[in-house]
Amino acid sequence: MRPTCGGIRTTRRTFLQSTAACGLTALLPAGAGAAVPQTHRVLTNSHWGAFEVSVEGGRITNATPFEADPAPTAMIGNFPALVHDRTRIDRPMVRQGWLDARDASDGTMRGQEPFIPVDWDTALDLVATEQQRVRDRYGAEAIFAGSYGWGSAGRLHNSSNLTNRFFALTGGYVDSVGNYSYGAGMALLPHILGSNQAIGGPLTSWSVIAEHSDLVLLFGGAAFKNGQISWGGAGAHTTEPAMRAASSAGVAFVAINPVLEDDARAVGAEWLPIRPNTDTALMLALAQELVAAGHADEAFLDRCTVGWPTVRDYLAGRTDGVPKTADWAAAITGIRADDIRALAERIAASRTMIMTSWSLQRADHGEQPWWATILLASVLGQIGLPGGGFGFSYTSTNGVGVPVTRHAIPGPKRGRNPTRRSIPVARLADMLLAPGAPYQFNGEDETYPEIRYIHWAGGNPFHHHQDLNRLTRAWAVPDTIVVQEPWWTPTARRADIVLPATTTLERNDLGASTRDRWIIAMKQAIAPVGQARNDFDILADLADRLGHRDAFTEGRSEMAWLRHLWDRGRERVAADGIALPEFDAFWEMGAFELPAGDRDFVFLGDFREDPDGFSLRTPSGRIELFSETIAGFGYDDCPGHPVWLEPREWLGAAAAETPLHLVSSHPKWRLHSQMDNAPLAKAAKIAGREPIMINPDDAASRGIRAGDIVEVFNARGRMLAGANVTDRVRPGVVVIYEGAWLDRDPETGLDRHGNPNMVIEDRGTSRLGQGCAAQTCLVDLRRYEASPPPVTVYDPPITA
Amino acid sequence: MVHAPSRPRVLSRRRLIRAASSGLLLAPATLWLPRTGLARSRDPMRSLLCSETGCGYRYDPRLGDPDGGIPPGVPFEDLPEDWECPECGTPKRFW
Repeated sequence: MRPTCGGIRTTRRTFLQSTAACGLTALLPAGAGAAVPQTHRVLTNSHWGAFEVSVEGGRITNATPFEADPAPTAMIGNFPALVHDRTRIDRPMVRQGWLDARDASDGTMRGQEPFIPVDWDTALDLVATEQQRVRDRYGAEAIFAGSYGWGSAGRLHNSSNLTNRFFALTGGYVDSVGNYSYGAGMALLPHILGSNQAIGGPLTSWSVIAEHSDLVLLFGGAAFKNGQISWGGAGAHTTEPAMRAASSAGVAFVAINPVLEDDARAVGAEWLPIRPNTDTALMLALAQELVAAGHADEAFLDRCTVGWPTVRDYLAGRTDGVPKTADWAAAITGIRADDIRALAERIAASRTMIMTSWSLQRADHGEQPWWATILLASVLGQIGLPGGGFGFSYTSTNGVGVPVTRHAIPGPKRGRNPTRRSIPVARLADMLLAPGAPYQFNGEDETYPEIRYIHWAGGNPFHHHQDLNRLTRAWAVPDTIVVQEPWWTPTARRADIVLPATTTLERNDLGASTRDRWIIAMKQAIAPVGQARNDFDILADLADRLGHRDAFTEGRSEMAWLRHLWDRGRERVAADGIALPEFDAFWEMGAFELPAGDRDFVFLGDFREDPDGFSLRTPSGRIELFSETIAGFGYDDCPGHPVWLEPREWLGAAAAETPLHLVSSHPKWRLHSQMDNAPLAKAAKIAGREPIMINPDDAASRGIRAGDIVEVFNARGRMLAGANVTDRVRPGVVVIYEGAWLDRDPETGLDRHGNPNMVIEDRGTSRLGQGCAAQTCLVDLRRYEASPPPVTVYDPPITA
Repeated sequence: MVHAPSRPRVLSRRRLIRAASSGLLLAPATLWLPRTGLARSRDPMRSLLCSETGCGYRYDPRLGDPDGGIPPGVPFEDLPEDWECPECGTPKRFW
């Protein structure tokens, strides 16, 4: 018998809650002004997946994964400690120097002076007054509110989105465009494929790969760790089960990566330990060897691509005198020529899926490995066949290559930014340091605005931006910097005014992602910690001070917004023939599973079948192996077809002072810098520092032993790290996970903790993409002989 | 009157939630889903997901973007060149 309540079929959760009072919770849904229970269990959602928390006495005491999740991440267990951690910001704070001198204060003192606690009204008055001053005196283009960052899952309390909405309504601002994850690819692919849908999907399903693929090439490696994360949350983690299932079904994997991850071993992958930043050379050589061996699919190239004759001449060396042979690539990649030729034969004889990670395009000329991936797949001619072709996101985030729902629950509209002004997201420090300077981006000539005021909610540029010594100089420039944030992150510590924000567990929201079938009612579990307030309420009160409250809130409370967003989503889903329950019924159910999408999806299958009828949105309607548009930009750092361009730093031209290539990967026990202040990430530290993987040969030649504290350095900066000596990283390469909270000693410039952005150059991938190029970095390291300084970043800053 | 089920917890919740959701279906979702996100000419009413994986907005031509001045019935290709995702701001050229 199916349990019912009020005619709505319901879940076990619901009737556990409602056996005593069926109907009562529907009349008084949680959050509708009612006090939050001191002791209860609540289901919620997060970028780490859905989970259930136990609350006792108003504190989170336990967190367990959503029971329907086939592969939950252990990071869920961090929540009880994280939410109540001593790094929470308990009250609004103002930097002492700013409180004394306002916009005339010394910006170089950010992060070094005590904070003064103030009450909320004082803090909000200061912020509103300062915004108005800057707007009146310098105009809207002096306000930077790109506010890039992950913040929390949830459709309503998306801090970056709400910040953009606020500033669009209050007169405009300078925004950012793109992301640090795949910014170069995002600029490139519309020229090549006519769309960026090759990133977000849908892509060929894993079930199709398991059935039809013989071989999966993993450029950038395999990474279950990346699949722990879904923006917008997930009821189900799919990457690891899908890869294991494909492996069990007999699909072979080849991981082309300087480091051998656990995950590659779990699927029995062969390991080709390539030199970092040289994947393009390998791809070009594989394409040339296919041509030389008569395996190029000329019919596919003719029907479905443009520019092949030009690229074929380049591969053969007819345009530059350098044939892109296996021998040529061996000298660049460090992979034996015989292995390259054997791999070319193997991919030609197999149904081969090529998966290239986001990380490969986060490098100097990062557009090239993605474009060369499409070239290689085109020469192979399997694009649009079941189990063949390519994809860019399979191993970089959760929920890719599974039957997607495509059913969106909307968030609040951000509104049009009246200034229409934005910068490429990774060019933050360039903007701050060189107002008025010209730059080029994707065919456009722009200049940087002069920024006087920065507002950042739910992001941490002192984690994700490159060259943090440079960012420290840039961060000193604006008159005022305001940060909304739950924790004392490195960025919050460097603000003038800090507004404490709630975490997901302290507010009500809707969890829904287009890459997941579950919609989760994210019910408030506990009262706000300290004086924390929701980002929405902070911005609504600021809008009130500026005369825009009604425009910002549209007269809705939190629960009224959730009901509104649900109703709009319900209308959208209904257009697809699916009926969502009424909001109250959903809220009571707690979770709703949408039906699966197409299990047999084949990316570009229709295009292959009928390239005229299903033409691409490129100028030619075909895959552009040569792009007249890009060639027309005249960029020597991104010419009209995929090419090998030497990175500005790589092992093929390493100076004696910096003989090691630093690779900085997505972390295993954090989401970027989120959860660095939580138990799992802390437990993984070595001698209290972020671990760095060092090949035994490189360690031995420097007298470094496992467990030592090492100093990683180059001309840009210095950081400490903990030595993890392992033969799972190729000689000449060191690997560190990004996200350790910056703990920079302002006196010496040494980061005591291990943020790799201390030593990475802050320069765009090319003038086309202007993306983050963090994987291009040479360093050296030495044993740290001095008395190791304590890590201080987990201690709240000094308050006066 | 309802009763707690006697089955193990994991099984019962999954079964019940699935039953609850599938029972509310009017039609299978696959009836309308487009075959590809890329091709343009055969299906002007196809919808597109925002290319920012952190967003989740979907442009559905049948619904348009009324708040952005786009009435129902406008294919994605025919949106103004300066149109942008109403939720995350990703410009049309990056979709």
